[in-house]
Amino acid sequence: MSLEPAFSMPAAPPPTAPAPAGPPAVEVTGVDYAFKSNRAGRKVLRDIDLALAPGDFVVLTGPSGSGKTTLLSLIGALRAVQEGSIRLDGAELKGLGQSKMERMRRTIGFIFQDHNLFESLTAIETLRLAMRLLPERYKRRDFRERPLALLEELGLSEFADTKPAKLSTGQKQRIAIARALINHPRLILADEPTAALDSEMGGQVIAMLRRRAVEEKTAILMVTHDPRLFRSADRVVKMVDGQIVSEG
Amino acid sequence: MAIRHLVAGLGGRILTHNRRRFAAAAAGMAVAVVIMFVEAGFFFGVLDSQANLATLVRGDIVAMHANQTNLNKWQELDPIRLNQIAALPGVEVVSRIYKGNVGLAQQAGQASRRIVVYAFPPDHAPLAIGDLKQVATTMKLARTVLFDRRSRDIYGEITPGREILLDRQPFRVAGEVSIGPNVISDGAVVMSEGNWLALQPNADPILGVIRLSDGAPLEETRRAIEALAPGEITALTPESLRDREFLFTIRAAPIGIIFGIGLLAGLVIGLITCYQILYNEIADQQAQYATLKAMGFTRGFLARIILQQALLLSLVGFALALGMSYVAYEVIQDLTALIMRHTWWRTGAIGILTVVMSILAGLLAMRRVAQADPAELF
Repeated sequence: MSLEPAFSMPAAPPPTAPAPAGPPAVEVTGVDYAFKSNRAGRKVLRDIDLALAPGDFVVLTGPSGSGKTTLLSLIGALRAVQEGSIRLDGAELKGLGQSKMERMRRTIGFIFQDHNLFESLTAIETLRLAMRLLPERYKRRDFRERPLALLEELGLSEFADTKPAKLSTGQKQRIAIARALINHPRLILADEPTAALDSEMGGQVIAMLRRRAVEEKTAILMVTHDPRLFRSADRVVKMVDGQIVSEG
Repeated sequence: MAIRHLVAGLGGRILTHNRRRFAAAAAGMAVAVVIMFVEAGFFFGVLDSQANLATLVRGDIVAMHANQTNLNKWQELDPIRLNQIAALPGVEVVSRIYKGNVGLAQQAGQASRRIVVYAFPPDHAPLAIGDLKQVATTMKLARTVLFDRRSRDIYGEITPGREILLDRQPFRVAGEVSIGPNVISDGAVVMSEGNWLALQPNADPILGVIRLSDGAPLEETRRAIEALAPGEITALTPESLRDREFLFTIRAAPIGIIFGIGLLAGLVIGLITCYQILYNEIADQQAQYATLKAMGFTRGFLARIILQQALLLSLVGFALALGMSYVAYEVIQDLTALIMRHTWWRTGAIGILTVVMSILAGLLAMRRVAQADPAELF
C-alpha cells in the first residue's frame, strides 16, 4: 500500500494575459534579518529579493530553519524590517509604527498551521469578528450573508452555529481559512494550510485559494514542505540558509 | 442591559464559555468582596454604635457640658443651664436626659453586671426607642424600667413582668425598648426621671434635648444656647453630634487603621484573585490573542476584551458578595450586637472599589496579552 494517498491538486492555469499594471502585491528587495536575541548577529535572512504580482500563487519551500517563516512574518508586517525594503501594494513597511503595521495587516489574510479559534465563538461569529476589522466595507446584511456564503463555499454551512469543540480538526482549519478570506485580502500568507486536512479537502482548499488568486487577483504566498502542492503554484521559491536558492 | 451587553461581548463570551470555571472565578471574587463588606461593616458598625444615641434623639438641638467630648464621657450639666435654655425665645421644650451605670442582678445574691441607665421625663419622649405612648405610660409607674431588648445576652433572660435588682433595689421590667449596645456598654435600661432620682438623688442630667417651636431659627438659637455660658455649654444639632461622635471614635481608637487594613486585605485578595483568573484565561488563549493581533486588531480592542472580562467578573462577584454580606451582617449583628447595616453609599463605595480593583487587575493582566507575539504563530 502506498503511503501517499490519492491526491489531486489543481494545476496552475496556463499563462494568461500579461500582469496588470500597477505596483506588485509584494516586493521584497535586499532584505536581511537577524534576531536580536542572537548575539553573534547571525542573519537568518540574507539579501532576499522576491516579487509577487496580484494574482500570483507562489509556494515557498525549503528545509526547517531556512528562513521561510521569518520571511513570511516580515511580509506580513508581524516583524519590523531591519535591512532592505518590503512593499505591499507599493506601500513601504520599513519604518512603520505599531498602528500603521496593524492597519497594514488588515489587508492580509493569515492562515496559520494551527487554527487558533476562540472556543467560545461559533463559526459564523468567528467570521463576523474578522469582518469587524473593516466595518466600513460592509452593510449590516453583509454580516449575515457573507459568512454564510463563505462557509457554504468551504462545505461548512451546516456548522455555522457550531463551536470549535464540536468540530473536527479539518473543519476548524477550514474555518480558520474562511476567517483569512472573509475580508477579500489583497495578499494571503499561508503556513502549511492543508497540513490538518485530508487529501480531498486539502485539494478543495487549494483549488479555492487558486480560484481567489485568479478571480480576485489575490496574491498568495504559501509555505509548504509538501511537493504535491508545487504543481498548483505559479512559482516555487526554494530557500536554504536564509537565501533564495531557486525560483521557478 | 449593560450586563447582557458585557456577556454578549467577546470578553464576556470568553469568560463565561466554561460555566464551571466561571462560577469558581466569580465565587473567588465574591469571597474577596465579602471580606471588604465585613471589614467596612465592622468599621461603620463601631461608628454607628458609638454614635447611636445621637441618632435616637428626637429634637432639634442637643445641649451638653463643653467638657463632654463624646457621648460615652458622662459630664453632668448644671440643671440651671437647662432652665435658662428653656427660657430662650423659640425654645418649646427642654428634656433632661440622665445617664448612669448600675449593677443589674436577676435576684439577690447573684453577681451583678454593669448596665447603662437612661432616664428622662416620660411625657417628653426625647429618644426614639419604641412606641412613644406605650413607653411614656409604662415609665410612669414607680419602680419600673424598660429593658433594651438589643442588650447583649450577658444579662440573661429578662422579659417584661420580671423582677430585677438595680444596685440591689428591686425594679419590675414593664416593657422593652430598642437602643443597642456599643463597644463600651453591653446594654441599657430606661426609667423615668423620678425613678432615677429616687435611686440617685444627687444625679444631674448629662444632656438637654431641645425642641424648637415652629419657625424658630435653628442656628441662631443654637448660638444663643452656647452664649448662655461660653465654655460651659456645647449645643449641636443631632446630625452634627453624630458626625462629631464619628470623628471622635476614629481619632480616639485605631479602628480606622484596624478595619482599613482589613478592607485593604480584601482589596488585595480581590486584586490578586481577579488578576490570576484573567491571567489564566489569557494564558489559555494566548495563541488566539496573538492571532487577533496578527489580523490587525488594535491594542485598544484587545484591552477592551480584557476589561470586559474584568468588569463582568467584578459585577458578578459583587452581586454574589452583596447577597452573602446580608447573611454575614445578620450573623455578626447577632453575635456582637453592633449595628451592621448596608447603606446606599457604603454599598456603592464597595461596588466602586470592586470595579476599580478589577480594572486594575485587568490592566496588569494586559501585559500577558502584550507578550502574545503574532510572529511566533508561523
